Amino acid sequence: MTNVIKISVILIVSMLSFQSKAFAQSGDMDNEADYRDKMTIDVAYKKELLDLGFKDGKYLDIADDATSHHPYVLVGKVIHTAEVSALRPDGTALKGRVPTDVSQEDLYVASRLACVGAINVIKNAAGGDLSRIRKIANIRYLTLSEPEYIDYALVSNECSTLMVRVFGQTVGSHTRFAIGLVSSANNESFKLNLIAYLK
Amino acid sequence: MMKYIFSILLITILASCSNSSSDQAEDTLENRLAKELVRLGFKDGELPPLSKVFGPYQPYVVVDKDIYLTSTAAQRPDGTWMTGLVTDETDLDELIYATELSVISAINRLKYAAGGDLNKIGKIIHVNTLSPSPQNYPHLEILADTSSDMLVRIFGEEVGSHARTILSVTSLPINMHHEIEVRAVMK
Repeated sequence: MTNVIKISVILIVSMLSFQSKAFAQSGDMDNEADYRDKMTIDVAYKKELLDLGFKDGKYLDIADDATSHHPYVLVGKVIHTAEVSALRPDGTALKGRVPTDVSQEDLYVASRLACVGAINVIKNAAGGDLSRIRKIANIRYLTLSEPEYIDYALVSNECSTLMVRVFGQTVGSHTRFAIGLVSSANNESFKLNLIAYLK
Repeated sequence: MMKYIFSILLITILASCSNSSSDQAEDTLENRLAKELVRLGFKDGELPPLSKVFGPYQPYVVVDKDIYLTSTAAQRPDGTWMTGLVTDETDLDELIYATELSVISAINRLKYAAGGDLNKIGKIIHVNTLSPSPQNYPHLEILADTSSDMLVRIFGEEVGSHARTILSVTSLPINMHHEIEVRAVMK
């Protein structure tokens, strides 16, 4: 009798766990085993920087001179970045509104520039070691645009794929939103901010 | 021994009876959600299948207990999307419907993020309302209230009440009519 009860309990438990597994599959970050070591991430990041024209694959040195806000805030293991501008290797930023002042192609580059800038910010937050990043959780893309412009997704994809190229699918894939701005500080065309987790 | 078996049987029968008899009356999260789904035109009060995302990103990310959702747009029960900018001439009832559909999409993703059981959601933290509306559009508050009220109706005051932001944006990706972004935390 007790055996029957035991078996039925085991059956029920296994059914329940099977059910929860089926639900967890698509978004569970621990399912895919493509964690990368520090060297792989550093090489991938350097390649993106070189492709964008950063000398020796090194990002700009940006002074943290504001008193009231910082490039990032670290709360426990959670990194919240400030808005990251799309700075070119010479330190200037793309300015103007899409599609009147700047083109879709300009924004593709701006998206990658802001992306490597954001990676630089979280690298600093992680004490210089990008392999300490556990997960890119959320990215917010902000574009200075006219109402008739709707191709945000294509611009965002440039950064979203760059994140995955650098960090791999498990750590780099994220949630996001993209919106059009009516105006933006310094008239900059593209910015992003993100939330990431340290290991 | 027979007594033992009999008592177990009796307990199971009683338990199943009490479950089924109180199902209609019981005020559970699932029943409240089903009621909203039927009202919005979803057949049988079932959540629709989770729609695929349009690019190289995730519909939801869970890190420890924190849940992040990609902003959700208004998808009708037949699977089509509500698109177009909001103008001063836009029918407010239709816009409210778009808001409610966005909330349903968000709850759908929350359910997957929580491993299939919405009762595991501990708190809705923040709701971001994104409306591609003209300048000085007077109804933004109503839209945000629509999603806030709906989340409280479904999840209850303790779990469903949240902080919120209302943003008027120039336009949204793929010309979406309305979007909301939800952050939540698991129990």
